[in-house]
Amino acid sequence: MKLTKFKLVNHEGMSGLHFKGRTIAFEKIDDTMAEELIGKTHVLERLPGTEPAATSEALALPEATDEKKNVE
Amino acid sequence: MCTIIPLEAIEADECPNPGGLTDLHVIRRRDIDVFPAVDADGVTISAAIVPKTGKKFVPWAFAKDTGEINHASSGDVGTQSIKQELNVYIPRGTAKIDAEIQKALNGDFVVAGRDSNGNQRILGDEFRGVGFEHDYKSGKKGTDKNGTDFKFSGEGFTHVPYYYTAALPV
Repeated sequence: MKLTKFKLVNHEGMSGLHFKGRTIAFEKIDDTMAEELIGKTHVLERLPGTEPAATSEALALPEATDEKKNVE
Repeated sequence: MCTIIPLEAIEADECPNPGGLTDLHVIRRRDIDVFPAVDADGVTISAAIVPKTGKKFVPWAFAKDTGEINHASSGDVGTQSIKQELNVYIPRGTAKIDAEIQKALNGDFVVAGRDSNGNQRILGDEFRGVGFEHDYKSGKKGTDKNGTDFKFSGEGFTHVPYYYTAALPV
């Protein structure tokens, strides 16, 4: 349960995010959750070089299978 | 500016009817740094609301089955706009609750509540917040209402309470 592909930014004074009816403390946000939350909050920033690559499916995380593959 | 959007069909839904409001988060409108633009449907905000540094939405807990979000047209045809309203009942009277009430009087708020259909709704917008009213009753006996009715409301909106699909900073 640790962020390895993302970092928290601009979260001064906050303790978490409230999303889909649940309050998620920052320390409970892992990479899987962050993939869902990125773009829906200003406090998460993707670290360079960790973008899910459409071509490297062998390395993709399980949750990445839901993502749209834009490259055919 | 208003954009005329073509009418579309409303389909019947045979889903069970869920319960009422399940949570409430409050922020002063002036503590919001970025209020995102509404999506093309005119009712959904899918980008994140960004508070100013050190500010956030705070949760206000309330008694079960006492929260509601209402919106209604107001004014005569030709001059119609939308009024937005969110009501909750916060049981008991305590120094902590009353201190928040005093701070909230004459305030200008943006409030977020998860409505009975599971949607996060936002009352107020970048330019117009919702005001606060309260009504405390101590009650005379054990079964009487002993607590405060909270009401956030505003008139003159050009939109219903927005459907907010991003995450709230809390």
